[in-house]
Amino acid sequence: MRMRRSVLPVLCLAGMMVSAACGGGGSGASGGARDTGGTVTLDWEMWAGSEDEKAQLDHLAALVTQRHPTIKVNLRTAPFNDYFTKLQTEFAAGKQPCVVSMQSLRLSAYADLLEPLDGKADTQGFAPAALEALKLDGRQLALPYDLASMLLYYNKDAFAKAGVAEPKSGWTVADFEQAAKKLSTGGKAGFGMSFADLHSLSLMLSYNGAQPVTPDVKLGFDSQPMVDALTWYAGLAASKAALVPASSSDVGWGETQFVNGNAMMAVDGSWNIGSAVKDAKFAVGFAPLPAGSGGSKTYLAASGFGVAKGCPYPQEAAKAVSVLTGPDAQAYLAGQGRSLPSRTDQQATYEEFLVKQDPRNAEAVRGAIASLKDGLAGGVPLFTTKNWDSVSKLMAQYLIQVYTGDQSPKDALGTIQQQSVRGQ
Amino acid sequence: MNPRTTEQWSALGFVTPSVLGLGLFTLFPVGMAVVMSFFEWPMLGTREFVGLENFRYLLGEDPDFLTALRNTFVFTGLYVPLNLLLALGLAFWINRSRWANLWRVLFFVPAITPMVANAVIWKLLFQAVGGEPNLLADGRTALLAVVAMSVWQGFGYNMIVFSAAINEMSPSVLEAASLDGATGLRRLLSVQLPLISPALFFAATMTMINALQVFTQPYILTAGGPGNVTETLVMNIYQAGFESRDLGLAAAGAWLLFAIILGVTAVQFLGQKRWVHYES
Repeated sequence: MRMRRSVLPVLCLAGMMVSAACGGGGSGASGGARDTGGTVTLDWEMWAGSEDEKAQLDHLAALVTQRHPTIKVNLRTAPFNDYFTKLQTEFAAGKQPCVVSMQSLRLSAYADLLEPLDGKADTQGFAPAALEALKLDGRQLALPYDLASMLLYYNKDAFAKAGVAEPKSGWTVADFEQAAKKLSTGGKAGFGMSFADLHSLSLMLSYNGAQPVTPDVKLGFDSQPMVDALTWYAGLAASKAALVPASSSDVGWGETQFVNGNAMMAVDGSWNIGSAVKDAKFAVGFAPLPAGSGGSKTYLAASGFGVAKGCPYPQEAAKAVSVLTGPDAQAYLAGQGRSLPSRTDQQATYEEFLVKQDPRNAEAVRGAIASLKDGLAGGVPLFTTKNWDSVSKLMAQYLIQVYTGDQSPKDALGTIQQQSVRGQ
Repeated sequence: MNPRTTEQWSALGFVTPSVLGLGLFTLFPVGMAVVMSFFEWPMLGTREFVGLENFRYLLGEDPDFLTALRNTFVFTGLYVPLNLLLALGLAFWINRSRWANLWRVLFFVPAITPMVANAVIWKLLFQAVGGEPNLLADGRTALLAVVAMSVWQGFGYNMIVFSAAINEMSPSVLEAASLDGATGLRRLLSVQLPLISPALFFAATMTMINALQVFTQPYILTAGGPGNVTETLVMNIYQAGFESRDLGLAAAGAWLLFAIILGVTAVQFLGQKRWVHYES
């Protein structure tokens, strides 16, 4: 009798564990629901860093219902740094939203989880480069709402003080190097280096066209052009013309040092034009990346919205995506200064917003947009492999060793390649 | 109902919530981790039973796991003795100071401030005083810098434990020792340290376990770099789980770490018979 009594709670516990284990699977039809009146409510997940951003997104969600009264969009947000961790966990648990916000650099990790939108949504009016950036293997996996290129940010005051001619379209790699050396005086450096993917790889791309990912999305870090490009890039540190990141956890090094006034030039994305003009205590100038052997080049990035596979209402979700990336939505976002719209007709609105924001710097902003458009012309999307998160981490760990002179470019690139091949 | 049965039922009522909690949130995940370690278990996609393949990969092929293991042991080997010596030295010194409570609070502050904030401040310090390359970017000094920051962060806790134990030393024993002529080093080694040896044992064991699980400090200060000189076991597990999205590999790594910690702790418990004195 006593024995049986003590066994009882153990059995209850085991039963609960089993039911808990089985309960996690969910019903499979996640991310949307239809009520008795026929109205479909779709979940939409998006990154947002503030209440202002959330309010902007709520406005977009309302636009969908305005256009399609039987579709409601339920917005869920997470801070950008947590967004992709949250999204992958939701997918793993079968709790993913119907409408998924996606960035071109992360696209390949989610390629199998997104419904191709070809033929289901209108792609007229978008800048071709923006559409291209969210395409993989010929399938349009998301529609873009913005588009970005990398630019050379420079400190106009420092250039004037040192008597160095300011960068302009057609500026070459040699001009850039000379300027960086001349501007490195009094504990300040001419250039702030980086090992972040878009920031470092764009400049290497412009230098000699080197690309770490082949057109069929295979890693090629150890190719000869990459070795040459990294040798040149790291040479900026060796000749004391550039600031090396303080540690491999300093992902935003170059642009932070630039805004703080410690580096006179840096490569940063067009999404920071507005904040750099506002935060820097000096006049900020913008130029296309210095031109190497094949002219000025940059990687492009785009963000947009896609439809999750397994969404119970894919047609409604595609309609929602069309509105969220439509002309009205983009005109609204551009008027809020969010980023350069992916629709060419709405791009001028963004420029006007930036000018109005800071009329004294109108010239800088117009210059930036001109450089950005130059960049778009010479831009290529950075296609990434499934394991790009690991690749980025390896770049941080090994490129810094090259910058400090502890390892040769060839060895470091070889290590990155060898360690990442397994998961590509 | 006889009183004995009533008592048993109420005991069951009291114990059930915590047993359920333990089962659901500790035993079940631990059991799941064992299962997962035998699977190729991608965060997104289909699972497949692979037997011991994850363990074989970690110990045989993974370019980072063994390095992470070595780094973790080097960190532990430096951090634990430094932490204990500093905590013990300061605890003895503080006990004689007029401002004992002030010092206790001051030295305890790093232990209760969030580790991430501490690490970020130290990172800025290393940048400010660093030459070229700075300590965190130089492969020869990066791990030492992480150890230095960790000791600063961690010794306060042990110091409080030692300080309490020193206060509890029986005055009559100390007096008897001094009447017998034990002074200075002799008194410290043969009387005082044995008297506080239970506290020493507790601090040594807990500090060792924490050291083997080090993550936050290198993650913030160096992100494992330069190269992989500051990559630790828990970072390797985190990387496998959340960057490579390979949960089976992460579970296998976690089990290896668990086995190591269990082994080290078991050795410490066996060893305590030789040097820990409990008053009985």
